[in-house]
Amino acid sequence: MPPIIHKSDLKQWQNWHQTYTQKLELLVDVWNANASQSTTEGYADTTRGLQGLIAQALREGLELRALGAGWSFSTAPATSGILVNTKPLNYLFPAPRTHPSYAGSRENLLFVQCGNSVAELNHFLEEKMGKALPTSGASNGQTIAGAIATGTHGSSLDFGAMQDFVAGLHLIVSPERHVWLERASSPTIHDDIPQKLGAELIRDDRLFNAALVSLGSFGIVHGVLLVAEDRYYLQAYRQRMPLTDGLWRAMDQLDFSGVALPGSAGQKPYHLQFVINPNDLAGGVYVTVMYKHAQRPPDSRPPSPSSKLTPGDSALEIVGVLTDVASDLTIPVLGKLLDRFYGEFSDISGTPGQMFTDTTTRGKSFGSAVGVPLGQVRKTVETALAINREYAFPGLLALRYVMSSKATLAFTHHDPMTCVLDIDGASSARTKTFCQKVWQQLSAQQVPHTLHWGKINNLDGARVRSMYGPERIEAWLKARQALLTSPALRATFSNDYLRALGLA
Amino acid sequence: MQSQTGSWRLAAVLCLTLSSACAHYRVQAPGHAGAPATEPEKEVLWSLAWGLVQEKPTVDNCQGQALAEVTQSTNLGFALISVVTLGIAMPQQVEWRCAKAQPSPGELGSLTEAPQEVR
Ligand SMILES: Cc1cc2nc3c(=O)[nH]c(=O)nc-3n(C[C@H](O)[C@H](O)[C@H](O)COP(=O)(O)OP(=O)(O)OC[C@H]3O[C@@H](n4cnc5c(N)ncnc54)[C@H](O)[C@@H]3O)c2cc1C
Repeated sequence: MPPIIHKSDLKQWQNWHQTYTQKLELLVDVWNANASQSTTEGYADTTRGLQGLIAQALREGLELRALGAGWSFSTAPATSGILVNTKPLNYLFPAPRTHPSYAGSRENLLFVQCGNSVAELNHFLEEKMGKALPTSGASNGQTIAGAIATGTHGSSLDFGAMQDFVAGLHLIVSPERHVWLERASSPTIHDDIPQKLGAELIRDDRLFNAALVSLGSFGIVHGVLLVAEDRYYLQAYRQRMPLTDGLWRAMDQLDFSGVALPGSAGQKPYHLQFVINPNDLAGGVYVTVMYKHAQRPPDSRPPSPSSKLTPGDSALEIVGVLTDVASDLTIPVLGKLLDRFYGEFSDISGTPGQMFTDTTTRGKSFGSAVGVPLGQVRKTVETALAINREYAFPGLLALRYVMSSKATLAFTHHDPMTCVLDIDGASSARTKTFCQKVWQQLSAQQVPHTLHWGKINNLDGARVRSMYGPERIEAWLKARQALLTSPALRATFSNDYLRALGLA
Repeated sequence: MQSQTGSWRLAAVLCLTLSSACAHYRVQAPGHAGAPATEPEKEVLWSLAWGLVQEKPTVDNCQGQALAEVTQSTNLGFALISVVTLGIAMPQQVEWRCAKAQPSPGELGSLTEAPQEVR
């Protein structure tokens, strides 16, 4: 049965944090015809429904874009043409048949439809499969396809960003063609499965790596094959620590020799993040550390279900909560609220899905993130702090760490690790100007850096090329051409954002 | 009567656009039930004659699923209309998002589905 395609009356659309409004021709919700039971037939019917929408866009000369949760602060999901809401598409297919040469465990694999939120996946993996995602963002309301399309990351010291646990993509690239993409170097799915879905099987590392962080511009990602791992527990501690040389070395190079991390007792942290209130350095840095265990550590407390912030929340969630509480977030108000809501704790543990939850905050907040290689972190943070001394902004800085991603346009590609400096504040002209000043200074000081595609970045073609180098850009553009074979298709899957980035 | 309702509606829409000061009350289902499947749809609803006549929103986009959240908003313009008409006409805006379905998992090529070798 064909999917239900509900045409909304909305002629304009706003992202989750309402940082912009986009006029559009048509917004449609796509629902599987039988939404209550995941079936391959239903999935294949929905593929045809999505292809029908691409045909309509081509016929009417409109752009088309898949929409995830709309959590991006950037205009990556915005279009003036047809916006396809994929959130209702949440079929799940655990443990699909694998390729004979696949060395991993079939039980760790989960094939999911694009609209599953990361929170839904955490729940299903942890409760029904006894598995867990290796990493995720600090909060988890994104859809899986939306999260990987911009390279969403967490802060697992042993893992890359979210696209790095993806082993296969089912991508709809035209009204007639849809492909199953995976790496030739690690075939994962049994050849029968793409055939069963009617998809063309392509095993190609170059195409796959490019299509991961696609910015929504490689077609509609209908399904994603994830590689999970056995369920694990994170034991978390948070302490406010003075900004000593030892702590700077930990932040700059992950060298922990000069600092006693909370709860460490010789264990290596799995998750680490630093939150800095630039207007209260004397109070110290909030250091959150989590250690990974196969079982819940005895006597450890679970996270409180009623608290406004969970142990995994980072600067953006804090700002979200604070802007919900106080619409005018001034520097003194921020300091007071931070003390109230973001306190120290020790020995709280839970599964990743319990530590990194969905968020319900809607405040008008502003998120941006700069990726720099290890060794450039101190210089980057000091640059931001120096600017804040001249031009103080009501917001927070946070540092998170991500292993180098294989995705061609991952902003977390710095080798061997990217440190992500989040700059999050109330959505105001001051916060925007503050960020711009930081970006300008980093360029002036020739600090190699990249910017999160899903957050505010104000990038243009020249800066994108200088950040990623011509090889990566050409590889990405060539892969896009190989999949979207006609200029009309490439125009359909473009938007103002892509054109501004020089990637259309 | 119809044209009177029409002008009330127009006034309400005007107030809605002109007034930025809004009060919102959001009710969201807890946990996964509160995860939205749709973008917000909204309607301005009128309560007339001190609540004797009450409009209901036309929720036709949830495809049999529950509501994930409902937000009721009012603003200065709406409050003015209510005061000026002594409560005869009380507009408010209602916005909703539908909840997601919770499908049971399916099988993608289980071993038993592997093609049998026919000899
Ligand atoms: C509260 C909050 C917390 C956040 N925390 C983090 C964090 O910890 N780490 C981090 O890295 N980022 C974080 N972000 C940023 C966020 O993770 C990214 O912007 C992410 O891309 C949003 O996912 P989404 O599902 O909302 O996608 P959207 O914003 O809706 O779309 C993002 C891109 O994905 C494309 N897309 C969506 N679905 C499909 C599909 N089916 N097929 C093809 N393309 C598709 C869209 O076209 C668009 O280009 C956060 C954002 C918010 C609001």
